[in-house]
Amino acid sequence: MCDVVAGYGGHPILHGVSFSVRAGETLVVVGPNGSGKSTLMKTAVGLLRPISGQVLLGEANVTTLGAPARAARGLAYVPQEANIFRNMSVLENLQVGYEFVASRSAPSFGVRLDAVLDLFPEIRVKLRSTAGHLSGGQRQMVAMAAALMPEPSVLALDEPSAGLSPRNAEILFEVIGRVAASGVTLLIVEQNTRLGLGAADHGVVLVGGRIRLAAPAAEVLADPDIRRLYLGGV
Amino acid sequence: MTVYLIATLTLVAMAALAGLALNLQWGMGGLVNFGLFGFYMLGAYIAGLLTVQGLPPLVALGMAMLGVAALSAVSALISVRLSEDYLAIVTLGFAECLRLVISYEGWLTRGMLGVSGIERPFQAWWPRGWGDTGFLLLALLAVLIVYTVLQALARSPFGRLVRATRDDPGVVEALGKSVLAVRVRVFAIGGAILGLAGSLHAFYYSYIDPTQFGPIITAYAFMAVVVGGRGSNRGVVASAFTLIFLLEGSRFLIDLVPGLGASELAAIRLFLVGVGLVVLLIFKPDGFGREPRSALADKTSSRF
Amino acid sequence: MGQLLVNGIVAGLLLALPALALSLTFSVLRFANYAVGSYLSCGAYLVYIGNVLLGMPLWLAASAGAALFAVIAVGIDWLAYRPLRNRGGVTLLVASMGVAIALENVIRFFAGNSPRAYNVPVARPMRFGDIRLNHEQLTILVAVIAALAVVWIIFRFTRLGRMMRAVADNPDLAAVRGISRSRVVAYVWLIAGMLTTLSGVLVGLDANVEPQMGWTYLLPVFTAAILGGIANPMAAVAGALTLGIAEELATLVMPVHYRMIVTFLVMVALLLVRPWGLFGTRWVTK
Repeated sequence: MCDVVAGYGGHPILHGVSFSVRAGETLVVVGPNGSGKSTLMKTAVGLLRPISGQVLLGEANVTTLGAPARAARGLAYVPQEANIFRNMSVLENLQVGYEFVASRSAPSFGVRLDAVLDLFPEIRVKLRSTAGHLSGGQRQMVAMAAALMPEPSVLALDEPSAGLSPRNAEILFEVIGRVAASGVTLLIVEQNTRLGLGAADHGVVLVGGRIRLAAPAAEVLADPDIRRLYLGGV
Repeated sequence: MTVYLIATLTLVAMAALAGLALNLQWGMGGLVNFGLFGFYMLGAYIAGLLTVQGLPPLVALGMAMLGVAALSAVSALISVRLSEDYLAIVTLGFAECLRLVISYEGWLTRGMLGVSGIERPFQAWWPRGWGDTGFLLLALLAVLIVYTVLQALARSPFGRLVRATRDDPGVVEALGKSVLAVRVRVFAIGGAILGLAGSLHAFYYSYIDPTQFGPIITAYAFMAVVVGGRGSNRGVVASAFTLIFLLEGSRFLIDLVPGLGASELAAIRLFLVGVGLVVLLIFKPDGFGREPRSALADKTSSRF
Repeated sequence: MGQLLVNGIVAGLLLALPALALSLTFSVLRFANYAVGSYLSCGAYLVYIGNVLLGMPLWLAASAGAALFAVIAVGIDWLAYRPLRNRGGVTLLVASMGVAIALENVIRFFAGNSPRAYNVPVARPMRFGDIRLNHEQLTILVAVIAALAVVWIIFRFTRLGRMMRAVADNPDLAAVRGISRSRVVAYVWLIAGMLTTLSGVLVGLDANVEPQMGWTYLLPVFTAAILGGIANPMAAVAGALTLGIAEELATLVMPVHYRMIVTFLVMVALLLVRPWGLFGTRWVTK
């Protein structure tokens, strides 16, 4: 993202935000509520067009492209809320995740389905259930699984641990770690600073629509100001 | 010629009233009244039937206004808990059912025979030959009164509230005001004006039957409001004027264009209304007029 | 009694296709298309041109008419509705009414007001015991059930169906999962256009082909769709059947010309008591 000014109805929330994620690495964006993390995500993913600035995916300038076009280029996204098709079955959610994006050279649906269900074994038995009837944690898993179906090269996650119990959040981040290890580039916005930065290579602190600090994750975690303000002195 | 002018101006007055009513309901209040002709027709029938029964015309007019206001309130109440979409179909249904009942319940409404011999208010006051002019004066007076009242309403705190419920109902609720109550009231006031318009219709023609009323009236009212500018009362009156004159003027086309009969002309006119509605909504959603703001808003906005 | 039920089912089936079309466009586009009645009339007249003026057998005229009107429906959306997509509130409603008025009067201009009928071979009604079924009714039965089956299969099992359901469920998420909204919108209008044309033909078979045929169906179609739960396309069919049967049963106590009143009473009751329909899921009222 390069010098992005973005917001709603003409009111900018992001004021000249620039950062980049290197291929295969994990970047976590942290910051207080209202700092613009959601806006950042929406702009990155194509749900919001920036007022000015550019968004680049690899070499390509995707600023003017909408979400479907970006998805076709290997970008997958899991929103924080409303991240599944409630009225469709789990299997259908996974089908939809796959069929509109998967390139011709990608592995078949069956192969991908197995691979993704290996990451989330708990939903294997729930394939026929209506997605909206699952528990919060399971829904989150379905959402991520659906995003992973087409073997994306970049995965954007908006507050993956939101609404999850601490145990489930840890399990989820463990899966996130495995996905990262398989070479997927990850952009994560996370409220749980400790967990988020723990899984990251790099961290970005977003405050009031501006980047306060961008550094390797360990540095961000160790920064005394950040620790005091956002980690509650932990 | 003057006779023709007087007749046309009277039509303008009635159309203006219908337009002003819709402007209140839809322009200011965001409430879609697809059954407008039904309320107008009800006003005409209440006034007509009561007058024919012997009630003084002005009293009948008052009853018509009350009756239509009440029915409007009821129809708003049915759907007002839901989104505005539902009001549209409820009013449409009301109108169609009303038309059915009026057509078939002859014992009450004289059915297809119609109600004739409807006396006008103040009929005896005018000297011979001046009856139509006198009625026109009455109609124009009605428009003037309604216009003044609506302008005052638009500038009042209540007007602000109504516009707020149109634009930001969530905010209004958060402030503790009942969106439902506001909507019902707005719809009822609009209904009263429609009742007035319908009554004037009955008095003017002195004879009414169900075939005089149809969705055409609804279409023209919407056209007037869209052209005149949603919320702008002045604009609505001006566009009612223009519309009626265009309507009347287009009658001459029948003589000019060969093969063009009255029904074809009617179809062309309505086609243009339909297309005009869409085109205006796309390109000029605020019409050609301006919405009256409250005096306070004018003062604060001039500071910027 | 059996006859009433059969008539009710036929009446309901007549409503089912336009109600389905209405629910379909509502679920994907989130606005109530008041032009659906005029679409029905338009489709009926297009087929009339094919059948009576061009001499095609009815099934051929109907297919051609459906295909043609499907494209017209997409065109209307592109011209009239698309520019208004982002305006909030009730603008689209009024626009759809404008479209309805325009369409109906195009018909009136060219075809006049007198009722017409399709060119179909005359046949004697069939009897099954106590119940009389004429050929038009049988055609309606077969055609609607076939159309419904096709739509259901598309909806449930195909990629296109998943596309439509996804956009109806969560448009932002659908975009993110790679679904192009404008594509889905076009498909929806194609299907809705075909359904309304077909229903126009059937209504024309059952009664007459006249300019206001669609307008008189507006209230029942909306009621049927609301009865099923307006965003739930397949449930609209159930709503239509229920309404059709209710209307017929009501003729036991009410004169026939008051069908509309029954429909209206059902609608009012529904809105007051169960606005999410018989089969919809409960949502919050304001």
